[in-house]
Amino acid sequence: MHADMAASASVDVLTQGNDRDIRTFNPEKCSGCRNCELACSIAHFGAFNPRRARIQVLRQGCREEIRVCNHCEDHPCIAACKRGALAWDDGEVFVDDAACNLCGDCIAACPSGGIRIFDETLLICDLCHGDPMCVKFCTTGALTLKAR
Amino acid sequence: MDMLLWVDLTGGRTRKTRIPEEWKSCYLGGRGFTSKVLYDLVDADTDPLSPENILTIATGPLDGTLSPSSGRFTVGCRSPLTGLLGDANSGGHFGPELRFAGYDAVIIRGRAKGPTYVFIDDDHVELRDASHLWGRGVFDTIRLLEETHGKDIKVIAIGQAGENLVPYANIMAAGHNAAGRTGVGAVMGSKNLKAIAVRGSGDIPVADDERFLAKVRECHRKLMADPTYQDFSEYGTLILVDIAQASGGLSTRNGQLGLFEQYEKISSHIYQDTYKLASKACFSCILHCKNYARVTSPPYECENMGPEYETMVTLGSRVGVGSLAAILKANQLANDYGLDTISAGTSIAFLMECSQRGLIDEKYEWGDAEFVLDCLHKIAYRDGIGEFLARGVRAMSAEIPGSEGFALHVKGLELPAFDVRTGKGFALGEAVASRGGDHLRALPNFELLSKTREEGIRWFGTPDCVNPYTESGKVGMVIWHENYGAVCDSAEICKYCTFATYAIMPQDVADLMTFAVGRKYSEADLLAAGERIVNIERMFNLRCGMTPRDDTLPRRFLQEGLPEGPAKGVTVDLAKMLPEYYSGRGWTKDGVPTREKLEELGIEAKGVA
Repeated sequence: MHADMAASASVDVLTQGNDRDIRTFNPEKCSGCRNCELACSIAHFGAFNPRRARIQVLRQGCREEIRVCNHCEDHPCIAACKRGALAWDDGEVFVDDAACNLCGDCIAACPSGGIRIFDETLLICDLCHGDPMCVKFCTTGALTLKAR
Repeated sequence: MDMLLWVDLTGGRTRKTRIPEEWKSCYLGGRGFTSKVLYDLVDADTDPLSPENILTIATGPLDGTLSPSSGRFTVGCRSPLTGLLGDANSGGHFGPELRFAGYDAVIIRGRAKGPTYVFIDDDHVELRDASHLWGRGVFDTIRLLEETHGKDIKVIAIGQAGENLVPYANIMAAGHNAAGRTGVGAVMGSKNLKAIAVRGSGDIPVADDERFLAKVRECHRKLMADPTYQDFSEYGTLILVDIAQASGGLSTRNGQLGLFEQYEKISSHIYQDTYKLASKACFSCILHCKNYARVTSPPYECENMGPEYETMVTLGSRVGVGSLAAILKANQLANDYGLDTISAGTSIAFLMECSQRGLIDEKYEWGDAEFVLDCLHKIAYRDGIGEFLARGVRAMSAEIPGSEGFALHVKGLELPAFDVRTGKGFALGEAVASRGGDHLRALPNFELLSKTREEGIRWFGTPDCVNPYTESGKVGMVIWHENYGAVCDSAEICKYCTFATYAIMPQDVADLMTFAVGRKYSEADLLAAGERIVNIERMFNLRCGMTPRDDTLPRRFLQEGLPEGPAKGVTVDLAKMLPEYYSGRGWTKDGVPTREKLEELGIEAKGVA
């Protein structure tokens, strides 16, 4: 595990993703440092605040659990939205904030617990349009990108 | 952000003020703030366990950001164990949460009428009844607070030891990160304050996102490229158990020996293969040196974060215990009761040696794990033999004639795991540390890491500084480490990123702070702040009655050579280092900061005759 980590650090091109890549999570490698949450919030909101992060890591005993959009193929959140505020756009769920009334139907429909509301904003991961900051700042190799 | 929260427990009031500009520019944060508060507001007459003592909890300017391993916090107060400056530093996730709630520091005064906890929910601050928590251990306390306020709060709490005013009680964050030294938990207990629970949902912006993130990435790369990173991220601080045994300084039977005959049973590799389940990290840390462990077989079943090096030694080899399972259980009990494992283990070891030498009538055997576990319980409740052990080594020794030479403390604070005969820079650092017998003020690992003579010359102007067994060439190295260490404790960045790896240097911290805060900090600014902090701490201690005669070590380290191993026969000669240290610091030959030095550092001289 640690040889991998050192290798990823020295190469530093780990996250050159594209819109066909998906993110994977290996709980065995996650240390619970929360750097993914911090990277997410600064990327999307220009400030550090884990509660604004679209990715959340929760510690249960010695295991870290992740809450984030899995970008699933059938995207039930979109089907659940009665206002047409969500759309599938090239591998990510696009949120039309103007149309969203924060009703929470999408949250109920999400199988991975990956959607939240904070500060009157619906938070769904957009994979940073192909080069996700959470993966970029994950040094343990718990978060990686791979081809879909 | 930038707010100070004042809590008056006597009057049941809270108020908020802005952090003074001078604090931020001259004292940085964290330990700088806690020591500044002591220097400005606590006088020589203040009884550590009285309502007049002030308990300060301070975060650093990088807390809550992506800056590597920068989520720490410091708790400061006058110590009930030493009577001098007390502080303790902890990792975990509490520091960032306090900052997300908008506070850089909390200053607590007075004493509540009954058991109380502070609940901070962003702007909302409330003093609440803690009657239902009083008497409970740390784990239970946190669980109940989470049931009341939600799982997303972060808590610091005392256990029974703090409630019962054990002078080396600690304050626990999340049940396994300890603000563990100088008895800060007893001061919290004396105020009838059981816990502080925080929920913070605010933003922490940085002045220059792009350059800040680029600097973080650079620091990550440097850390991961450092040769020490591999071992630390894999084994955590427990790798030091192996290093100590190899150098002949694995503190065994109260430091009578430096080689532990049961070392194989407590080595980091054995631990890795038996009870350890995972490596875990504090907030924003890529080193993840903490470990999570589970013992399933009786009688020591337990599951939680496992011990660090200090605990593996002080509740292991120092008391002669070679059962990993028992040490893990002891660690968990100490965390639950809220006890400093270094002081507790060393107090027990002292008692055992008194018994070995026939200085007391009772028979206590080295390696009796059941006895050690029972002692932890009794110390927390000050019950039976626990009442005596709870006084700490210095006070115990005062009652047992002939025991002074092996009472392992400096200025009343029990000495950590490292045997200073195997590192003379550490010896000097622990003799002069502002919180007593402490290795973390200086932590001159440079002498231990097999650096080359050329590196010694390049860094500190002398090849001798890389030889741990010699006094020569250590002073400049120790002073640099002390100053930079004060910077790390004030920026609240973990010293395992700065002194265990030497990957993140003062210029890196200056850059991180500059890009985060938007105020220009140079390397020189930071090191001057570090020196300033060391000096006000010295001044505070002098005010409290410390004399330079207290800058010493137990006779064991000064006169008794280790009987075997690589450090066989080595003793510490402080007289070869102290005069040079005082003059290197710009202090008088009696170890007192000169008026010129204080003026140079912008410290107002007060409280010194």
